[in-house]
Amino acid sequence: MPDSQSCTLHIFTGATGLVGSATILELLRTDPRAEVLALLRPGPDGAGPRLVETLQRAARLYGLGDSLDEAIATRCEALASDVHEPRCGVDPPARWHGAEMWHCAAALQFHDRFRDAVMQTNVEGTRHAIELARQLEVSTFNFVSTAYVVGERSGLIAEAPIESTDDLAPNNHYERSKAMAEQLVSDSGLRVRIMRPSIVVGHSQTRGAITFNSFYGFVRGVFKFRRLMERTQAQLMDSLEVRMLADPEGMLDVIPVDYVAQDALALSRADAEPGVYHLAGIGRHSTQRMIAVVFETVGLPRPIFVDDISELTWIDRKLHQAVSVYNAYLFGDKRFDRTQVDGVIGQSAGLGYVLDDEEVRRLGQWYLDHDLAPRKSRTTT
Amino acid sequence: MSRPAPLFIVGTGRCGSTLISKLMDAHPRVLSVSELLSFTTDLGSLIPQAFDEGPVDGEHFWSVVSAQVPRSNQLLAHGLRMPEVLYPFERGRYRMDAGVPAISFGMLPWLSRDPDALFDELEAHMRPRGPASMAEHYRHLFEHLMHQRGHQTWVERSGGSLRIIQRLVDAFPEARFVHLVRDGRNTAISMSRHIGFRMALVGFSLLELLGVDPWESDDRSEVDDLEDDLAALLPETFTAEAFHAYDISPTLCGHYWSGEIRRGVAVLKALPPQRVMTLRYEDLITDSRACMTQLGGVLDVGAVEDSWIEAGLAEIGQGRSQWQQLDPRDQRELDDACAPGFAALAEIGLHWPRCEG
Repeated sequence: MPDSQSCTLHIFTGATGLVGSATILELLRTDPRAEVLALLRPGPDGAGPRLVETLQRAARLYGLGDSLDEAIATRCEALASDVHEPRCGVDPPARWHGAEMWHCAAALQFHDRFRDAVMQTNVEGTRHAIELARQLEVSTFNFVSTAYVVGERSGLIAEAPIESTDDLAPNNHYERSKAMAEQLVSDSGLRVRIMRPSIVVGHSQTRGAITFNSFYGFVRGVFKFRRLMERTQAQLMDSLEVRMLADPEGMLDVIPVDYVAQDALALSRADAEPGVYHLAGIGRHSTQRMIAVVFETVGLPRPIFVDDISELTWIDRKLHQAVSVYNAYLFGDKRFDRTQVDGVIGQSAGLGYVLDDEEVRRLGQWYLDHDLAPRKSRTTT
Repeated sequence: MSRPAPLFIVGTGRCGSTLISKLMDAHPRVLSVSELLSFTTDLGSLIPQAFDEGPVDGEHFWSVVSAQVPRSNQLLAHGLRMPEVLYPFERGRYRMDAGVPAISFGMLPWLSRDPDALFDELEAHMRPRGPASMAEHYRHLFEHLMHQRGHQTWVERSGGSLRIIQRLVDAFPEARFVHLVRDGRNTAISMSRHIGFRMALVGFSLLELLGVDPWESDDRSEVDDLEDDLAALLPETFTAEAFHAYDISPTLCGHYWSGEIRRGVAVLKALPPQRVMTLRYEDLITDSRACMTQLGGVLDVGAVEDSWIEAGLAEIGQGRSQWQQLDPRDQRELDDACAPGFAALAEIGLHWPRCEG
């Protein structure tokens, strides 16, 4: 069994993503012995500058200012890499052996046309990360999945491996890809922790975020829908009643990214046994109320919730279509069991986090102010 | 010699205004100009460019009116030809799949059987001109054609020009307007089936959801926000099949119609009444002689001649769309969508029977 206390090298994929970058920052902040090797696509600026820019931006958004700039510069190394290549396209030196690996890279594209690309990144990419991990004989392989990997299942969701993807009814190919990837890592023979965050949002104190999926994608969808309708007719949405389908009993599970990072690292530091861990269950709120607050935040009247699709007008159906990729969140009530994760870390860093209307409004408003509102609608008249 | 006051036929599009252009064209003293602004603005998407506020020289003006506008040409390149495209591809210099100048889509073939020769002649005439406003260049172009043909006045009509009504009022401060209005429900049904309107609405959707004009920018950073059916209509993935399959309902077009009517009526109401004549398309169909007499009076080129009215009556047919043929629920939805437009028209005394129930 590898000794995690002596392991200071952490290898990350997905280091420029929301969870990956927050986990790296938390690692640098709390563990002076930790060194980070980030495997990432170089982009136009090169892997190193891309990593530094992302981590510094995230640190500032999360209220850390420049306090981690030196650690980012001296304790983080970026290596151009691609999860689409065998062994992520890298030829690892001996000093990487025995490191702890974090596979955070994932594609979050929900539309059907991205099916192949998502499968390639999330399934084949995981296969390639596993190949690399085997070659490196990593101490532990931490795989960041999603709590919503269980598809249409509702009720209490156990921290248990997926037995078979055949039994699942995924809402989309993203969920299917994550389920398939979980099976790959479970069968890899590696020492594996599967970490399943729920809907990851911005920092608990600043609400800042560096990427905008799931919750933010829904906000953006409603925002853009309003702008589109108002391009069709000025002020149309001031008076138009919109109907939506959403589970009246449904609850959404949200976790700020800093709590994901803190709980994930707590599992690592505790050298948690291989298994499935829900990084979820600390912030839950009514689906309908969250939708209503999002509507208000983007300047729309609260929608009228209906039970039957036949009650929707054409405009309602267009909105429904615009946010249909988030149906996984709009229907069903999932409660994510935390027995295993709490058994290891005692209590979540996010204990006491309150997800209510006001918090939803703050999260949405931050996104609106920092990203959406500055976009000027281009005149065509 | 005094210059004729500009006269524009304006409407939401799909309101029967092409018929007015035909009636004007039959008048012996009138130059009828058709669809220049529809294509110069590329189906209403490049309006600021077509009304550049600063003085521009003839070279610039010609570059705007002869531009290879992307949306309209994309349609043609995929064999999607709207009825307003009159260019004779079988004998002209341009091919459907290779791009047509904006002015050659409809206006020049409307005026001449040899639009290429007219293009060359107008290019030679307009390009050397010195700085002037875009409006002055348009006016000079129309007057040049008017004098060439021995006419006394000109009338411009482009489908959907209510969208640019404020631009027209600002750019042509002495202009008169004939506002043709048709039952919004029938207009909306017609819009939802019309290639040009469908493309305009697709363009709006792409612009809002992508955050950039995909015909001007290759930034696709927000392409994930496009639903599959809309992503299939990006310039790089566009197909005629995807275009036909894209769902644009009469309801959406009804909302669009209401917006155009509300804005248009507000602008026109602010003008002196003698500069605006509002005409119901349905009246033109059912009471053609009276409407033509009214139109003839607006032209201000002498007495309205019976021969012109008789020729015009032969042109006037029936509108095709019938909103009452929709199922009751769709009728109600469409009627609701058109309600703000009907309300704006009611304020100026125009009424249509509304959906019952």
